[in-house]
Amino acid sequence: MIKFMMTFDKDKEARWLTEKANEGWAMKRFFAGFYTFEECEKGKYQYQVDFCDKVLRVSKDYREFMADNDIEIVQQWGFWVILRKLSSAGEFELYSDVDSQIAHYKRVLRMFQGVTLLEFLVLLYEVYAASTLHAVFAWAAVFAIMALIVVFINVISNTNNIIQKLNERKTGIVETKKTNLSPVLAVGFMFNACAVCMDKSSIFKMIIQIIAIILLLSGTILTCKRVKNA
Amino acid sequence: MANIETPLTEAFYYIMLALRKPNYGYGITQEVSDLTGGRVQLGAGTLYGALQTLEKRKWIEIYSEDKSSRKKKEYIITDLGREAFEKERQRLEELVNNGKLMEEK
Repeated sequence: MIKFMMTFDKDKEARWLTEKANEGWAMKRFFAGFYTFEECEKGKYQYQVDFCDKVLRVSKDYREFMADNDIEIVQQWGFWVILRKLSSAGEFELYSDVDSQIAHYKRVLRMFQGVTLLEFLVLLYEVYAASTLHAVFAWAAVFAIMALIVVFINVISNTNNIIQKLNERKTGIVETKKTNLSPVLAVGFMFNACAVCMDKSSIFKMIIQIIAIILLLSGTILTCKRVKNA
Repeated sequence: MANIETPLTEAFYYIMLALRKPNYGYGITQEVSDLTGGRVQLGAGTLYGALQTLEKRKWIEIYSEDKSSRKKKEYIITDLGREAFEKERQRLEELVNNGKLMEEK
């Protein structure tokens, strides 16, 4: 059985894979969002997703350690490694205390921040290319990257929330949210930047400019609401 | 470097204790669980990270690595590690002793 799923939430992914194993389907391979499952005894495995200890790979030490602890490396993909353990061998948890959980999510956060920064650079280049090429496909690429950036900003914000919750558990101090800025505002600025970059006035430029204005306005209203509620 | 500013976390303290004699990953998890009556269950990621950190600090070292047979990698505490552990234990003792003051009226 092959299933497609797209997520940047590693905990959700692990829960989903364990759920599938409970239904009698053990994940065996992963390729670009496609998960290959094999039939297994119901509830045979528990899955976890870890962040690679080396850049885009796991070290020999890591492999040996997991093998020594009866944990199977099912698939390594990009920054991630999917692990599983027989349910009969007991509870399978990767990070058991707040300190190591915070350290783990901080590494995840840094990676997403780096990738998002890279995406921004690619976006700038794409906008430049699109404005000189005047081709529809080039603008399609710009919008695809913008959509990706929005997704990543959302992931960064979620990861930040997880770290904040963990910090609250560690220090016993409930921190009030520092940022009241609405992400809609950021997206608005992004559209506005695109419109500014386009040299010739065209119908595209007008559409993007209008979208930018709408987003900036609604972003401002949302931000004002957040400040008022805080 | 036997001195570090922050106190040891519970996980680090118990891992070092479990390494007073040669021990490997799962053996450490088991012993820590037994010592604490099941309260502290070390996750594999937590344990792996802690072992890497402790090895970098030279507080623990690899005890045996049998290349020929596929044997589990064992660690043991170093003299430097014992020194750091002892310091932490004395600090904790002082905390507990001074804590009795709370019972005074």
